[in-house]
Amino acid sequence: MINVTVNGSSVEVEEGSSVLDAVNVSGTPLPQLCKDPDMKPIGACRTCLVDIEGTRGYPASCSTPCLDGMVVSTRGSELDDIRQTVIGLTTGMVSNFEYGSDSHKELSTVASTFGIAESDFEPRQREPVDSSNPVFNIAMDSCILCGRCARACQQGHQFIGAIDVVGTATDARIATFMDKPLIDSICTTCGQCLSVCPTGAISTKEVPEKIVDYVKTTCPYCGVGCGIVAGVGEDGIIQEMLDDPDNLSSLGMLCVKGRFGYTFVHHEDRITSPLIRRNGVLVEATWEEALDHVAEKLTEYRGDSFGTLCSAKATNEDGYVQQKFARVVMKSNHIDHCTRLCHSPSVEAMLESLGSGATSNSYIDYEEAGCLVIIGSDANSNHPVAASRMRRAVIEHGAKLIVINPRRIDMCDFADLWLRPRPGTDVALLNGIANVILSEGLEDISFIKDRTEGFDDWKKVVEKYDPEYVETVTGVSKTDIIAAARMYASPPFSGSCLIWGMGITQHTMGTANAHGLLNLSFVSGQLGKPGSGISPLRGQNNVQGCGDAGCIPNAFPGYQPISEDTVEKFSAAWGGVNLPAESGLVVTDMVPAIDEGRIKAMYVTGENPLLSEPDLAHAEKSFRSLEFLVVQDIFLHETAQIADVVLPACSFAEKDGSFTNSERRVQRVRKVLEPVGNSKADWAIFCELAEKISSITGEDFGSEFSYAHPSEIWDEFASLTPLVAGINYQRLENGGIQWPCPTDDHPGTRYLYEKDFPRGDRAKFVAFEQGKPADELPTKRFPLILNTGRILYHWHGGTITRRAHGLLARASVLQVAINPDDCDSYGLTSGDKVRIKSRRGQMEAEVLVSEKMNSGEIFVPFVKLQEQAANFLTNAALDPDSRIPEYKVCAVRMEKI
Amino acid sequence: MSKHNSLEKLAEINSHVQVHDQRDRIVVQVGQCSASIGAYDELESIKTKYSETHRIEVAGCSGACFSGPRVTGLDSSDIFSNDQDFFKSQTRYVLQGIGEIAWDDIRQYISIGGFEGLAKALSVTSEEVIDIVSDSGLRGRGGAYFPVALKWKSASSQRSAPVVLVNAEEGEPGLFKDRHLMEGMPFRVIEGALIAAYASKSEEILIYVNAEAELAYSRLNISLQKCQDLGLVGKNVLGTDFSVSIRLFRGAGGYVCGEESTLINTLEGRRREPRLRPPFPTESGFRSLPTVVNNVETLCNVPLVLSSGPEKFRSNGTSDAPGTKLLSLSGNMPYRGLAEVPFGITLLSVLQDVGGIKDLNDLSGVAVGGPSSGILPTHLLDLEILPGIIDGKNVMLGAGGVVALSKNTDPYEATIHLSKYNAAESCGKCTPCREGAPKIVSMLESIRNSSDRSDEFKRLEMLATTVNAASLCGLGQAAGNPFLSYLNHFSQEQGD
Repeated sequence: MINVTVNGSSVEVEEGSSVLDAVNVSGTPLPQLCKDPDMKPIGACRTCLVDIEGTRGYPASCSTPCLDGMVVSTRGSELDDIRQTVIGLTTGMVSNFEYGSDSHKELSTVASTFGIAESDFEPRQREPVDSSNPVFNIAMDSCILCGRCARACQQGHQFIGAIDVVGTATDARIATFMDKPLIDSICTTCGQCLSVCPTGAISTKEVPEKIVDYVKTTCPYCGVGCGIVAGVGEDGIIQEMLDDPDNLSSLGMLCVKGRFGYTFVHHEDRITSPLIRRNGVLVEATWEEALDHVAEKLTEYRGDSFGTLCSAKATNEDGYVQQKFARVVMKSNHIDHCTRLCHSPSVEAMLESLGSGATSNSYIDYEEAGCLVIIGSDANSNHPVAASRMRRAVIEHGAKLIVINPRRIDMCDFADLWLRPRPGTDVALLNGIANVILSEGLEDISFIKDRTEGFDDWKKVVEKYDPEYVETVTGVSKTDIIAAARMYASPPFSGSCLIWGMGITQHTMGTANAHGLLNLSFVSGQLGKPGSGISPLRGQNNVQGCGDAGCIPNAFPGYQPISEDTVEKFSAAWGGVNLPAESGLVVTDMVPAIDEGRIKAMYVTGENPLLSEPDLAHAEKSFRSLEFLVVQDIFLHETAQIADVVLPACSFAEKDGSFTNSERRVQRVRKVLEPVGNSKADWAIFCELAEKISSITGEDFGSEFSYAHPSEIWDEFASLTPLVAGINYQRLENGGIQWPCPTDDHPGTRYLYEKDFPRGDRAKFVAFEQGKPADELPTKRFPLILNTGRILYHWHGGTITRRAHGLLARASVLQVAINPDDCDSYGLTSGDKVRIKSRRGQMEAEVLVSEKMNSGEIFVPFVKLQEQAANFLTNAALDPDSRIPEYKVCAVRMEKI
Repeated sequence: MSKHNSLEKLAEINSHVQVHDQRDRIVVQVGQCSASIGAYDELESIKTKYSETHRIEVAGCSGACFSGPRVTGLDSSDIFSNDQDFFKSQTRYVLQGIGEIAWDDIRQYISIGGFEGLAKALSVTSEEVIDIVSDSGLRGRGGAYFPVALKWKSASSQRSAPVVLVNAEEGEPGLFKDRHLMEGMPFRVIEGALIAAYASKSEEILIYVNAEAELAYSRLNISLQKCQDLGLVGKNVLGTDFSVSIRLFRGAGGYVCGEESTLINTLEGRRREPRLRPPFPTESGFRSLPTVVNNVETLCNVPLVLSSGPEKFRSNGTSDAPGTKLLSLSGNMPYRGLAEVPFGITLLSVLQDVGGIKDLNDLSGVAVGGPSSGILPTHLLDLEILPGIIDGKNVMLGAGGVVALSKNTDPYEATIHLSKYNAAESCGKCTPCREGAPKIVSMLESIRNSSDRSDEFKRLEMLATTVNAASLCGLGQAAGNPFLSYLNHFSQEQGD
């Protein structure tokens, strides 16, 4: 610590602080228009000038390092005059600047505190407003060119670079490349620029009402788990969503969904009352009626004929109570959630080879890595803030980046190497990379010797996959395979991270693919140390937590597999009830079980299988054949519309709880507003149902379903789950904690597997041969490969994002991306309409000519827009190990409409 | 290989490049200046007439731009004889040989002591080289006059090996000294940079040449190739352990690119705007490496300091400001061109003895130091040529531009002109310079014909003071100088 004097009072600041930091610590007001608290100084506004004893002139305090013993003064007659003149020049940039009002945010405050009554200077004419973005405008006539927005878009935060200060002298302006409208630039509408603008020059089109309360909580979209701060108006409506600089996962960043996608909470489509189907029609009912009805019906299906889907969007506490309800009250282990449709192959592979299924490293490890491999993941669209941190590694720290993807995703712009395998040939490619690592002697011999098993058997398989052979299978050149192996196994500094998504898992060879990746990390020892690791990027905000909480058919909370011991443990913990002792069915097996008449009743929470299942027409037929279907959700989506009873649930904004993100960080979800309509928290609904069923069946659950607050649920979960035993709500007040966290004084765990693995001392190599690339390959009738995935502006099937107007405005029609050559041969241009057919169904979409696509492959995001959805086409063929459907590849044909 | 071999190695190179053409020489001076008035035509006609009988060589311009294109060797005169008035009051140290030897003839360069400085430097340690340069008292000649040895020392003591960056941007109007050096003696520029690299323990030299200095760039490029071929640049320079690479870059355009941190930004492909300090370039500059930025004129002094010793260097100039300075003379004077004078000489003697001005009443003032400085009235011309501010207020020597204003030029209009230049060249990053500099212009223009401008001048004084005090980089911090010097030196006389 160093001591300095500011205006006569002594201040202590950390070594490395700036003089401005010291002034701020002292509480002395000083304008700092271009200085964002969490970005490096820019030094453009020149309003934070100070006088430092022994230093010539008036240095800008933001960029002056603070030295021990400095005597700093913020006032002085000449200094005051100079600052006033600078502020006058600054306000003079703004047309119609109103002195004495607060119309221009920080600038108004500065002007009235330090400035003059009126600027001496003629305001100058500026560029017009860019209103091309549907969510916010950039008004150059209110811009003071402080550069914060450009910095936030670039090195300061997002590493996107859509806007910059362009032009010199009085022609300087905030602009995009080639001065295109913002909407036509690479802008992703993340709004980071807006969040740092000190004058309101960048502002939302809808002006927020006065905000009376700010509540810190966690973003409900993807698995990155960004910190958000909801600003609530007097009417109890969320007016704006801010980023949270204190959050260690997001570091003050947000993407477009996090910042502008919250409006679904207040959407008119929210279900506000329970609905019961009477005479074929869903009609409003009271909670009493609805719960009585559900309880009565459910008593008929206790045991094997009951299945339930939990929600990876709901809290850990919701999931925990739901799985407990299924096991304790319904006596069924047919419990699953959407992980089956995304990362179950990763989890299967990791369970077999490591003994636990989670991302081994933290986002900070991406930033510290010397090499990042992003395979089968369009992180820019699906994990935007994690992607920003990956770009930081590449742009700021010089890490190598390898992208492996058949599509030219945006991340390729930053890549050292882009491998473009034929769809479904990943096993061969990964074996090929391993082959090079071995043949070039790049393997980590001591890691293999001391910490793995199965190496020799695996090696025998891999030896066949020399680069020449792999080139013929995958279409990736031998040179690139070799280069990738070298980069990954011997990064220029630190370690290497493997990052993957659905492009790896949603294949009939999904589990084999995941094993291929794990094997790479074992053979090169890129595991269990900083800057390395294996990262299946989690899709849903709480898909990690949902599994942790036990919403899976084969294990109790904390991945404690169903066995005699665990049944006994949980039975004892849960009031001595009888628990089903056999593992249940996974979701993709529940659908056939419905068809077989085995499952007769289902309870679906916060999921919309009739949009997310493959082969939708078939799935709908199955769900319609159920005898009893309860859907508990916030919107009356496709599945809810065919339910017997619909129960209105609270959204994330209306309840307390916790989410666990992709880096295993448990973070608080806080109640921002009162429940919309008559909605209730999921956990509370299950507790009430348990009571009702108890009163019908006479089975006494004691106090097992009475909780005063979600913190009590967490505490029960933690007491039964060693992974999170040391975490409680009190600790979470100071920010999230990464599991494993076994004790109250444990700080949490940044990366796993430093010394051993959950399965023991050794990780296990598991070999796979390349099989048939996909269940369904192109034929004469269906000559094209359809690839599905997501786009930045929509979340999964779009049930939520279609109800967030800002997001819908950025992407309102379903587009199919087609290679220009294919467009030529089909006679298509952008904007044309096409009909796409597979053996199972058809859909219509708008053509987007895209060089990102390979010829012969087309891409449609699986969001449903204007009644069109890709999952009408996809194939329900399953990976034999994890039971995930092959969303990524199916054969289709296409015709112009 | 031992360091002590470097001198022998140089002798070896010298014998290797000897040619035995005994014919008489005709030397044609071709520089960017003389090229524009027909030097190439002259060269062609001389070639046609004399190529059978003479050796025809091309040299850079001696500095007497007013009488180009110049040819020597056709009669008994040497390059100085025609314009003795212009040359006799100069002290030609850094310019020695320019105009006399063929710019691309390494043998001739060696014959006048070229690469001796490098060989000597390589025969001692880096630290000893820094000591020698420190003894000479050599300061940077780009306008800031920072001690050269100190800069090298600072960069060489950082954790990574530094980069030597030669600032040949020279974007200031009325300045043409570095161009003359690069065109007339490119080997000296390279030699100076090599010594700088050796002294600061660098293995990488980048030369950043103004985008419009076409001739300077091409001559440097050819000379660099020759040096590489002879082992003067590359691995094991002169047979020593010292290895170094040199790359040439073209400037990005704009006055502000001469500002060192802006120069570094543009070299990295970034926006042309200055960086915040700290860190200083010697700590973290090009690609975050410690970076020595030296001006061309500065580096051309270095080989001479090494070869003929610091005492010889100090024999010119004053004890506080040893050595000579190149002045770019232009405007209303008979002898316009590049001159070299010792520090401490008065501006008046430069204008009269070198520039050939007879009657000071022909002038309304003299602009010294370019747009970052100001205009001196004729009664203040006995000020000495010294680093930094020379009038005690806002006029500074800068890089040595001297423009004589004719009596028909109103210093007020000249002040507007200089202020306009500053406003137009602002990079646009910081508010005081971007917003303030054009307001100085518009206010000056709007009160051009007012009878009483005292109130406006008060506002302008505050504004100019603010621009100088609050701006981010050296350019903005001097953008108020033209007005302030006008206020100091002219407003009384003009009844303001």
